[in-house]
Amino acid sequence: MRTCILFAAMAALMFADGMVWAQRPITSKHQPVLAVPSTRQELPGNGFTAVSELRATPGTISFTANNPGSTIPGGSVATLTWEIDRGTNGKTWTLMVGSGSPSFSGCTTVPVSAISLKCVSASVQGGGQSSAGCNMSNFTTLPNTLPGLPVASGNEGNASGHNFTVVLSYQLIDSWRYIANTCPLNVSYTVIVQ
Amino acid sequence: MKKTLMVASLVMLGAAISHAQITSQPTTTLNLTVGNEAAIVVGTTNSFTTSTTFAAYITSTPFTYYIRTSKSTGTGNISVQFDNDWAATGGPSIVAPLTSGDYLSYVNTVSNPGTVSAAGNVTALATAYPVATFGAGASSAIAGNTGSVAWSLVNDPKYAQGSYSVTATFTISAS
Repeated sequence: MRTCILFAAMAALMFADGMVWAQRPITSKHQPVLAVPSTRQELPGNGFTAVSELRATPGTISFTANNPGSTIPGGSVATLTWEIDRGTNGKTWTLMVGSGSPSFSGCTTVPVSAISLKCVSASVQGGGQSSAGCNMSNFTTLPNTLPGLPVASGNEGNASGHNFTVVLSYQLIDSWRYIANTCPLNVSYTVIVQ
Repeated sequence: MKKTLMVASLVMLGAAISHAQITSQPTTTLNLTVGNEAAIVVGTTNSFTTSTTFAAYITSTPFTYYIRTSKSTGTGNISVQFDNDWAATGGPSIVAPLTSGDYLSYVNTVSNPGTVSAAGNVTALATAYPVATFGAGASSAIAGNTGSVAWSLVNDPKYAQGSYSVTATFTISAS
């Protein structure tokens, strides 16, 4: 009977630890929660950080590679927006950018490393000690792994809602190695909140 | 009883962790249009030389080419042409050779991805003589690929002593 009670206690402790992780990692040794819901989502219970839908606009950014050996700017910047509600002042959010492909789809001679990006601006509305800043102000090669590079980060702020906006700029290094064609590459965004 | 409790604890922990994982990710599509492009850098052509008396005058023109053609239907080519005849009279001529058969002939060399065109004789002005061709989906190295045209001119004793020159124009195209 004593043994049974001991294991029951262990089970309760493990479950409690799991729930803490689900609510909010308190210490840095816990893996951050990937908080990128497609629609507004809140973790259960009171006091859970909620991250609204992460939006990326425009959906498509075009490059016209017509000058091998030069750098081709993207047709527009990418704007990322999302909301963090019930955050905790002192906790950090991080925007990650990466691609899951080694090359453009249908253009295997154009590697993902031909693309580089930088953070143009990062801002937040909502006050409450929240903050936003660029981590990469110089063009850096886009990684072909996910979640990718931390391009911007900041303070979640206090419990009230905060609207975050990050603007990214992309460029392509044109090369004679590329075969003439039209092809897409999907770039994924992830917001990680502590 | 012991086993049951341990399994229960793991299941409960797993449920808690999985609830915390939210993984959907928005994307931006980077849409790339790689255009057909081609360029050629023509190197120095040294003066004609001859190895023995009345042996043919020879020299060559090196070049570096850069090209990328369309993936499925693209083509490309390098050609050379002469818009004007040899300068000065009494010497070699494209359109009016002193002796029939006094040709300026050429032999092409080109590295991949180019396909070398057949050798020939220059017999007309403003005519594109083929040097190399390219198929669909051709792309050169970043530093370009190389080729050359070896020139040979009949050393006709009728040529008056003097210096003569002629300009060859190289053209590369890609589709």
